[in-house]
Amino acid sequence: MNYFDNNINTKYIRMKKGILLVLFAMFTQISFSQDKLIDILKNEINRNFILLKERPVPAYYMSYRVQDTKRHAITASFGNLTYSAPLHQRRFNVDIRVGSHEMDNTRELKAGSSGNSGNRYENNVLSVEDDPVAIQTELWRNSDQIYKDAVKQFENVKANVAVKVASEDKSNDFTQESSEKYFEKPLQIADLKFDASEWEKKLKQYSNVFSDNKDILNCSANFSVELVRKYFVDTEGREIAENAYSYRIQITALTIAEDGMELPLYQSYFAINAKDLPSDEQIIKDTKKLSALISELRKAPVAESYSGPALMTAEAAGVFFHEIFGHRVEGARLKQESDAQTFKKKVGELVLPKDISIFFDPKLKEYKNIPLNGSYVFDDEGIRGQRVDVVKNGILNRFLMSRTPIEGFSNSNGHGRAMIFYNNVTRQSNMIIESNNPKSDKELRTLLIEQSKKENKQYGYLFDKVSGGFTTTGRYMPNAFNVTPLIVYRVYTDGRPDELVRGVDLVGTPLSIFSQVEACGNDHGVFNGACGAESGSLPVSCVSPTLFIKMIETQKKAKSQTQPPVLERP
Amino acid sequence: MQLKYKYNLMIAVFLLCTGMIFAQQTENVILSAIQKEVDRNKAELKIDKLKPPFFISYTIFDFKGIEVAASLGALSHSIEYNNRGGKPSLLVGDYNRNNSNYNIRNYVKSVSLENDPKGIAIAIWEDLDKVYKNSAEAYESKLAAIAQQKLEEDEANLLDLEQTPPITLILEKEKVNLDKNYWDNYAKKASEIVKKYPEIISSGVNILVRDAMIYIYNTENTQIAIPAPYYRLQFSISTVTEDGQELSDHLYIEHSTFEQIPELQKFIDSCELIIKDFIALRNAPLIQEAYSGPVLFEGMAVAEAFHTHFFNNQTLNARRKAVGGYGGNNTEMMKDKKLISRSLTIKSLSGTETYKGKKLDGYFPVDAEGVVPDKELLLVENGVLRNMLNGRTPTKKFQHSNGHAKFNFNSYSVATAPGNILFTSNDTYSIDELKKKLLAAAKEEDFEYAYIVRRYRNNNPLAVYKIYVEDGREELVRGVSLPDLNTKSFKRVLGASNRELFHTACYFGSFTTYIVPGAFLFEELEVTRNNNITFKTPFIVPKPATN
Repeated sequence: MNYFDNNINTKYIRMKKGILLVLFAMFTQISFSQDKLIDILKNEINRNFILLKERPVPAYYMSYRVQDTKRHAITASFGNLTYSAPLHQRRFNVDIRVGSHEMDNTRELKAGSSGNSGNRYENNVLSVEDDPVAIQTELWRNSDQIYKDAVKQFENVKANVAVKVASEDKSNDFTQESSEKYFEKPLQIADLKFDASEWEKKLKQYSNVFSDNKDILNCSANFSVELVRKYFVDTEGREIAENAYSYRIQITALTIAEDGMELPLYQSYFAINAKDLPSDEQIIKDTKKLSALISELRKAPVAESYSGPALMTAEAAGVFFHEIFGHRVEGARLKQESDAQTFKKKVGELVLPKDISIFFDPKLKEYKNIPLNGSYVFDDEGIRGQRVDVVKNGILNRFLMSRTPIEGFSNSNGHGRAMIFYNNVTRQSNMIIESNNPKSDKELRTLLIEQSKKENKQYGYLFDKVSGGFTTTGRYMPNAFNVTPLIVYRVYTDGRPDELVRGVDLVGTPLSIFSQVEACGNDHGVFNGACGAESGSLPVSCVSPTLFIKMIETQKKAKSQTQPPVLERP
Repeated sequence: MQLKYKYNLMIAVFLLCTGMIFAQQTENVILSAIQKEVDRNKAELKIDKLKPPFFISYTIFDFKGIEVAASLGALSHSIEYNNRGGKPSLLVGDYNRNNSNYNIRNYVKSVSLENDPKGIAIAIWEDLDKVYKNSAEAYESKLAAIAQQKLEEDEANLLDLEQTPPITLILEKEKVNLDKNYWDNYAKKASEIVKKYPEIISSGVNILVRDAMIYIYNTENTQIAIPAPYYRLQFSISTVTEDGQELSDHLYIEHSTFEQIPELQKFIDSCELIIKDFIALRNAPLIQEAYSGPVLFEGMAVAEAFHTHFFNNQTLNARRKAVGGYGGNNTEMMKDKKLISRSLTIKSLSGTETYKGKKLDGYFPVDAEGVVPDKELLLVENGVLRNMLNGRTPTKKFQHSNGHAKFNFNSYSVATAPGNILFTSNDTYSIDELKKKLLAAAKEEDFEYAYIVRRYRNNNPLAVYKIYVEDGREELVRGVSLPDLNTKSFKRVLGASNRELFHTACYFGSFTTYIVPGAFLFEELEVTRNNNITFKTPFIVPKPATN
C-alpha cells in the first residue's frame, strides 16, 4: 500500500488517525517510562555535543548506537549435546564527524597517504542494566577519544585533498536528511516463548539421524533464538528503538572423499516466529535426505573445468546475484577511487535482460510467504529503510544509498548498515529478483538441453545449492566473482538421469555473466544468510527465481590433501 | 591428631606411587570412554608404510563456569556456561626417537557435554585421526632432518620421552560456589565504590569461577581424574594525570576454594586501599633524575619480581632444543655453578599441600603427563643451580621428569610451569634493618635518596617511592622504569626480610604460589624515567556526575 496515495477513502484516513493517536500515546509513554536507555543516550550525547561543537575543529554531527542482544544458542552432534548457553550483551558505537557535510573526517584518503583510512573496529561493552552513571561514563570516555581521532583524521583528509588530484565524484561527504523518532515496545526473550530444554532434545534428535551414516566425519544441529534491540540517537534529533528477533536452525554434515576432498552440506531454516519453523518430522526428513545425499556426493565423480550453459536453482541464484550484482550497486562503494565502479555510469542503460527487475526492500518481512532475514525499519544511520527499485525491466535505475552521497544521488534510502563494531557503509538488505517472462522448470530444462546440443555438449550443468561466495570490486585486482557450489548435477542431452558431480567453483566476471542470463523460472527460492564486507557481517536475504545462463565458467575447487579417516567412526 | 593425619597422608602417597586407586571405586564414565577409544586407536590406527602410534594420551577438561563483570554498580556481563574440550597427544616412533619436539600442533576439540560413551568417543576418534596423520608425517620428517645433522653425542643419546610408571588417581569433584546471583551481587557492590572517586575514569570488577575436572588416560595405563576449581576476582581502575599520563592498576585475587575468597566487605576494603594508593600516584610527581644504586622491593613487588625473572621468563624451566635448532634453555649449562647470590635458595614444593599451616594453591597431586611432583625439589641451593623444572622430555642436564608438565586452562595446552615455589635467604633482617641498610648504601654512593618499590607487575614498577637519606621521609613518584632488573640482578643483594610472604596467582593457566621474603634489597639497580609514556590532552567534556 502506498501511504501517500491521494485516493484513499475517508474511513481509512479516520482509522489511520486513530492508529496514529494510539501510537503517539504509546510511544510517548515508552519514551519517558519504559525506555530509560534512550533518555540516557540523549542526555549524554547532548552533554558532549554542546562542548564538542564549540571546539576549534568543531564536531558537526554525533550519533550513539547501542545493540542489546539476547541469544540462546544450542548445538548437538550425533545425538549428543555439545553446547547450550544463553547470552546477554550490550555493545555500543560512537560516531563523530568534524568539518562539514561538504568535507569531513570520513572522506576516503587516496592511495599513498600516510593517514589511516580503514574502517575502525571497536568492541565497546555497555552495562546491560539501564544505569545512567555506568552507561554515561562509558559513552563519555569513548566520545572523547573518537572526537580526538576524528580531528586528527580530518587534518589527514585536508592534507590528502591538498596534495592529490581532485576527486572524480564531487559530492558531499554526508547527506542532509530529515529526522524521525520511532519506538517499539521492549521485548524480553521470554516473550518469544522459547524452552531451551525442549530445543536441546530436538537438536539431539535431528543430529542423531547422522549416527547411522558412517560416511559422515562430523555433523551438527544448531539452533539459535535471538532478540536484538537496537537504539539510535543523534544530534539531528533521531531517537529510535527497534526490535528484531528470529529463530534459526542449521543442520550441517561433512564427509571426505577418497581423494581427500572435504564435502560439506547444510540445510538451514529461518523464521521470524517460532510457529513458522518447520515441524520435527519435516526437519528429520530433510536431514535424512541430506545424509543420503552426502554419501552419494562422496562417491560422485569430480567435474572438470567447463564453460557452457547451466541452470542455477533459485537459492543458488540468490547468492549469485548477491555477489555479482548486489555488491556493485552499493552506493558508497561507487565513490571510492579504488573501486572499479562497474555500474556508476550505467544508470538508464540496459544491464540485465529486459524481463528482469531487481529491488531491495528492508521493509519486507516476507516475500510470497518466504520469511526474510535482511529486514529492518531503520538502518544503522537512523534512516528509514526504503524500497529501492535498482533495476526495472533490465535498466539500471538507482543505487542503494547510505548517508554517503554520490554524484546524482544526494540522499540515503536507508541502506547504511554496520555491525555494532564498525562504522556504517552502504550494504544490501532484502534483494528480490523478479521476471515478467517466467518459464516453467520443464521449459528451463529444455532451454538448457537445446543450448547444450547446439554447442555439441553431452551435458549442461545444474547448480542446485551453494554455500556462499565472494567478489572483488577493486581496480587493482581482476574484477571477478567466485561462487562455491555444494550440489551440482550434469543434465545430459540424451535423456540419461542427472548425474551428481563434485569439485567445481563457479567463476567469472560480472559484466560478461550478466549478458549471459537468458531466462528466469516461475519459482522463487531464498538465501537467508550473512554477508561479510567492510562493516562486518550482516543479515541479508536474496530471493531469486531459477536462472538459465547461456554460458557459465567453472574451475576446479581447491581441496584438502588429507586421506579419509583410518578407522571407522565409533 | 597431628600424627594420625601424617600417617594417613603417608599411606595415600604410598598408594599413589604404587599406582593404586585410593578414591572413588565407581566407574568413571568419561575415563572409560577415553580409555576404550584410545585403546582402539592404539591397536588399529596405522597407515601403510608408516609406523603406528606407540603412545597416545587423551585429556578431557570438563567445566561449568560463571563469568561476571560490573562497573560502577551495574552489570555489563553475566553468564553461566558448560564446556568440555579434548586434547590429544599422540607419538609415533618409540621412547628413544619419536615425533615429539618437532612440528607439534595443538588441537582442542569440543566434546559431548553428556556422559555418553559414543558421543565422547566420536570426538576422540576425529582428533586422533588428525593427530596421527600429522605425527606420522612429522616423525618421518624428523628422522630425515636428524640424518642431515651431526648431533653432539650427549644430544644424540637423549631419549625423546622418558618412560615413567603408570599411575591411577581418581579424585572426587570439589564443591564450588556457582551461585550466579551471589557473584552478580558481589561484582555490583564491589564495583560501586568507585563512584566516590571522580578521578577514576574507568573501572570494573570481573569475576570468574570455574568448577573443573581434568580427565587423562594414556596407553601406559595412567588414569587420572582430578578437580581443578578456580576463583578469580579482578578489580581494575584507570585514570589520567593532570599532565596527561594514563595510569592503570589491577588487584587480582585467585584461589582454589571459596573459603579463601574474601567476603564482600573485605574485598571492598582492599579495593579502596588500591584506589587510595592509585590516587596518590596520580598526584605524584614524575621522576626527574636517573639513579643507579640500592633499591628495596617490598611486599607483592618481591613475589612479582621473582616470578618475572625466574619463571615467567622460564629461567628455571628445562627446555629441550628442537631438532630444527631453535628453543632450548642454556641456563642448564650452569648446573652446579653459581647462578645467583649464595645467600639465596629456591625450592619447588609442588607436591606439598600446606606450608606452615597455610594451604598452598600451587599444589597438584600429579602433572598432565602422569608424574607425581616431588614434595620438595631443590632448584637453587645457596645460589648454585641444582635442578630445573621438567616434564618427560629429557634435556642434556636434566633427564628425568620432576612432574612439572602442567595443564594450562587458558590455552588448553601442556607446558612446564611451577606449582609452589619457596624462595629463601640466609641473610635476613627486619624491615627496619633493611631500610637502614638501604639508606646506608645510598649514602655510601653519595645519593640524597634511595628507592623502594612496593608494587611491580610485568616488568612495570607500579608504586615507587623515594626515601630520603637525611630523614627517612618517603615520596611517591611516577613514570619509573627499571631497565636493568633481570635474573642477574639477584646476584648482588644486600639482604632480605625475615618475614615470609605468600602470593598466589594463575600465571600459567594454573595456580602458582610463591613464598618469598617480605622485602628484598638489591645492591644496585638503574632507576630511570619511562620513555614510552604518551601524554594525552585532557578530557574536553567533564566526566558525568556519579551520584
